[in-house]
Amino acid sequence: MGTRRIANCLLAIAACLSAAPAQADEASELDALSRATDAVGPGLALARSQIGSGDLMGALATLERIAIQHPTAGEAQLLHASLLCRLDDPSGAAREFAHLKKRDFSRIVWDEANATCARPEPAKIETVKPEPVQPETAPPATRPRRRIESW
Amino acid sequence: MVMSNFALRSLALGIALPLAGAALAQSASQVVGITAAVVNQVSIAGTGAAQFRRAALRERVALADRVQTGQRSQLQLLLLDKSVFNIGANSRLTIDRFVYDPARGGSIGATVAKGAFRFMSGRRGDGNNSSIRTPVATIGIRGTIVEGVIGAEAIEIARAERVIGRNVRNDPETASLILLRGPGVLTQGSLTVGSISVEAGGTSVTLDRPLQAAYVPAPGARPIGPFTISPQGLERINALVFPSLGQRWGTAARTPPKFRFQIGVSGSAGSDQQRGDRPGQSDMPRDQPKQTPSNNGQTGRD
Repeated sequence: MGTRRIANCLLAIAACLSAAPAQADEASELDALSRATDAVGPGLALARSQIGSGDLMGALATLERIAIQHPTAGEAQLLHASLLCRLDDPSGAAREFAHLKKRDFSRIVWDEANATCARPEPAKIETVKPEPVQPETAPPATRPRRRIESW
Repeated sequence: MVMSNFALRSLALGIALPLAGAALAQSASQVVGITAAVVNQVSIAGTGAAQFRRAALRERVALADRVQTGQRSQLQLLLLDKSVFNIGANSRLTIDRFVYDPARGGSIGATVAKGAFRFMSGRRGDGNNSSIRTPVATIGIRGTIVEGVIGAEAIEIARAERVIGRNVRNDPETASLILLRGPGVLTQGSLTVGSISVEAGGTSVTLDRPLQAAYVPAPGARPIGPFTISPQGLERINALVFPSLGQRWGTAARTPPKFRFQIGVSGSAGSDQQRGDRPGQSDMPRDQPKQTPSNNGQTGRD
């Protein structure tokens, strides 16, 4: 009887403790996100992965974390600027692009970033000029045929 | 060896009590996030703690912890729901409320007492309603990116915007400039289009387009705006939120001038300009334009 009571008591305490590890797990996930930006390369890889999976806000946070810890990381700033365009902040993007020098990046990387911000040109609507109206030439009036009957 | 009941009970208590104590302590200080990026002087103080201590990288931040940054310092707080606070130099922030259900959504309540911040909601969809309080305004947030500046820098930036004239009385301790950054209508990624409400002095204004801003000059004053922030204003706010980038790009904020005047503002519109002025103590022009209740020195464009 006493053993059963002790066991029940321990089970109850274990249930109370189960909530804490769940919270610790979620914070551990944040640890992993933070560690990824301790260096620029892994941080950029994480940001690109987040963009690829549609987590644009997560990518923005990652790139800003890189900017805080590594303010000379130009490629992260370039990717951040292009991401602002995806979030419909072209003015913010333009301001950041203005601080970046094209010559510091490879052509592919620079063009890719700028392409994200390029607004597609409005579709050209072809206007077909109507052909000049020709005065209608009415078909010759058809007279009823007279039967010429030979008498 | 068969243990007696007494020995079993003692062993169980010896194991359980310390663990239960730890669990109780942890639940009492609910962890809401971590310090995901720390630059220079960042300190933290728990609930009821009198003194701040240095914050480590990836330190757990609990509900009601106060975090602050020193000069040329920055912090990124990453919260459990993936919301983010980027905090610039000389800033102080507290997470007052944190409700997080991965299935249903959540909400955050925070107070920024001074400095500059940038908040990004971590969740998509309409289930995320958060609020940020400054000393003079409450910002209602709905799935968005919002920036704010509190203090003398807010006055300096607001003055440079053409919509804020010299007729507005400002409090250098509490003046707040709030800016909506997005996402805009054309955002990708099926994100909620950002919108915020700025409530102060019994009035609320809504900002629902990127780069719309509102300015609250003093306690009890109504928001001025919405107006569209200029590129120069945007640059200055960014330099305050990210001082290391501001320094690199040459846009770092200068030390703001000291404002000499005091204010004696109450909630009543139109009376702000006539209260408590003494010669030499206000930056108001001698010829004061006539104030109407609907025009509290404002010349809002939007």
